[in-house]
This record gives sequence, structure tokens and C-alpha cells, in this order.
Amino acid sequence: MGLIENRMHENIVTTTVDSVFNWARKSSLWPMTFGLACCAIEMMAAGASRFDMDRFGAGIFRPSPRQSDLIIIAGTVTLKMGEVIQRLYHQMPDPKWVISMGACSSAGGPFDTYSTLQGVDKVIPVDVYIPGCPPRPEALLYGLMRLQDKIDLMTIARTDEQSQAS
Amino acid sequence: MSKEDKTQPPSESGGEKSQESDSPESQPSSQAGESQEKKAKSSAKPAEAAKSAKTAKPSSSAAAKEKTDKPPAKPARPAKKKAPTYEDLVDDPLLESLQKKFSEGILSGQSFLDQATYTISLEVLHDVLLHLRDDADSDYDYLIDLTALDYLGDEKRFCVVYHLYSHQKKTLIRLRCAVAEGESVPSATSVWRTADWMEREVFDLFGIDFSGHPDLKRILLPDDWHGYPLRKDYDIKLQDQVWIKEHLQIRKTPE
Repeated sequence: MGLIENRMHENIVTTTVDSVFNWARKSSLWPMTFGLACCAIEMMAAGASRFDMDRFGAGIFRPSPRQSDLIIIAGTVTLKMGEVIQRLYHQMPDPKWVISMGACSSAGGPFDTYSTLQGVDKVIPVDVYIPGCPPRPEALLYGLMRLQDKIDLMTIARTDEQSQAS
Repeated sequence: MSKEDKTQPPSESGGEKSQESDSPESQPSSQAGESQEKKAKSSAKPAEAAKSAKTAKPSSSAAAKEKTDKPPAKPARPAKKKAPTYEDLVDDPLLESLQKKFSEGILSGQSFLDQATYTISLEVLHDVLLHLRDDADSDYDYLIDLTALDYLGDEKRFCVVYHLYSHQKKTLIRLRCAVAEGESVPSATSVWRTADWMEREVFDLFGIDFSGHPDLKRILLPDDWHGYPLRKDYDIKLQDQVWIKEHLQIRKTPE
């Protein structure tokens, strides 16, 4: 900071592009309205006034995948629904994140059966896994905060990996 | 105050057995709690008020000590009841009337915990259903449930079960019908419209064919699923890999 110290007028703040972007992204997450089982009840509770997910900027559930950047997989994912989830995920605009809420969506839970997908990460990439059956709203909020931490580590600069891929 | 004093002794002696032992202490404690009582509920019934005062303020430590010394005796376990069994129906008017009408078609009538079950052969099934619905004596106007069982290894592998209810008589009966693999069951949709989705579910999970059904296709599983998951020879963890390959892009597990 030594180079630019005391060189500008007051009220001018210097920062990095990454931190501005990350701050904006993590503070205004738009989760999709998507619930599959009892975890969704806890998710609704987390969104309502007592736990108030809006404190973290993620309280408004969008009714369309095209308007959301976060999908919370809240409940048992059947194979039939796995197909739908995959489509919904592809319909979300980048950058997008996935929270796998509860034992069922993380690993199939108690339903090791013919119809249940054994973990939603088999069909879409997951950022944060929240254990519990179902997890309490506090757990979901903690998972959301961990996701915010993860978003904070993002960079818009092209990484070596990406440049190799492109 | 005098009113409460009077009412306390009977309420004590009339109380539970475990509280009898500390009746001498309970009187002072309840008196101490009287000021509370008056504040809280002066209009409440005296017996209730005395009880609440006692629970609200266990003032004397002696009373508390005595309670811990004497744990309340556990109530004796009720004698084990005999497990209910299937018994043949005796003097059952419905069974008699059915046997009179369908003779050989009615295989048996049994009762389990006062619930009647009739076993019916496939040949007369549809007629019996119609008869039970339309006959004034039976009048079973409501099909509660239609489901199936798989007795793998039996000569007739499946058993289709009907639960019928009569709103008029307020009685519930069960019908069982053994069905061999490959045999088709006459659809009950013409008798009760409710049977439509129930038969589709049975078809979906057991693969039992219902002849005369208006739209017999899978109801829960995807249309192009292979196999019938509730059959006994379908492994509980078996998933239709062909379907998965076709419809899901399974990701490689991250290293």
C-alpha cells in the first residue's frame, strides 16, 4: 500500500477486483425454490423469521433456475428426480453453487434401494455437504456460511488449470 | 384460608399412593405456598390449588428427602396376551351368502382380530366384487385399498388383496385372490373408479396384468424402467443400470 498511500482524496477506497466480486456474490445468494423431503421443511424454517436466512443475503428463494445461483438439494433424490436435478442445474447461470442438505442427498441416507440415488454428487458437483437427518436450520445456516467462505476464495483471474483446458 | 384448610386433608388422603407417606410434611408446605396460591388462582378448585401449591413449592427439604428414599413402586406388568391368530369364520352371514351364490369360487373365510378375510378364486373375482358392491345386504361401496403380495415359490405366486368398506354398515372386509405369474386379473376399475391408480401401482411394482384396465402403465417409476421392484426376486439394492445409463450422466467420483 505504500505506493498509493495518501495519494487520493478522502472517501476513496482501494480494494481488489476479486474481493469486490466475491463480496457481492457471497452476500446476495439466490437459492432456488427446491425441496424434496423433510429437509425442505427445515429449509423453509431457516428461511422464515425465526432463523432468517436473509441475514446472510440468501433469504429470497427464486422460483426459476434461471434466476438463482444456489440450489439446496433438500431431501431424498430418487433416480427419476436425479434426471430433473441435472436439467435444473444446467439451466442455472454461472457462477452457481450446490449445497447438499442432509444424509439422503449426501449419500442416499437410509434408502439404499432400487429407486434412490446414492448421493446427489453422482449427478451434479456439490460445494457443501450438511450432515443431519434432517439438519436443523442452524446447520443449514452454518453450511451457508461455509459456502460464503468458499466463495471468498474464488478469483476471476484465469488459473493455470483453466488456461490449459481452454 | 379456612376453606383451603378444610379441603386439604381429603385431597391428600384421596391422592395417589406414593404421596401418602409424606402427608405430615405436606400440610405446612402447602400452607407456606398459600400466599402464592392466592396470587395465582383464587378461583381455582381447592383440590387443584392444593396440588399446585405442593408441586410449585417443595419448601421443606425433609419432604424432598423422603421422596428420593422411596421410589414409587413400579406397576406390575400386564400379563402377556396371546398372539392373535387366524380363525375360521363361524356363522358369518356374508360368507354363507357368498358361498350360496358362488359355491366353489369362495375358497375360505377367516377372521383375524375380528377382521374378516375371504379368499376367492380368480374365476369368480369380478362377479364377487360386483355382487359385494351392488347387493343390498353387503353394499361395499368403497374400495379402500388394492395391493398385492409376492409369495415366491408358491404355485400361484401372487396374491391380490382388496380392502372394502361399507359406509352403510360401517364394516371393513378383505378379499384375497391368488394369481399365478402371467395370469391377468380382471380390472376393478369398472366396479370402483378408485381402482384405476391402485392397479397401475400394482402393475408398476409387481408386474401383475389387469385385463380391462383403461390405461395400464407405470405410475411411480419411469415409463421405460426395466423390472418390477417389489417382486421377491428383484434385489432390494438393484437399480436399473440401463435406465441410469440412458437418463443420468453419472459423474466420475472426484479423487
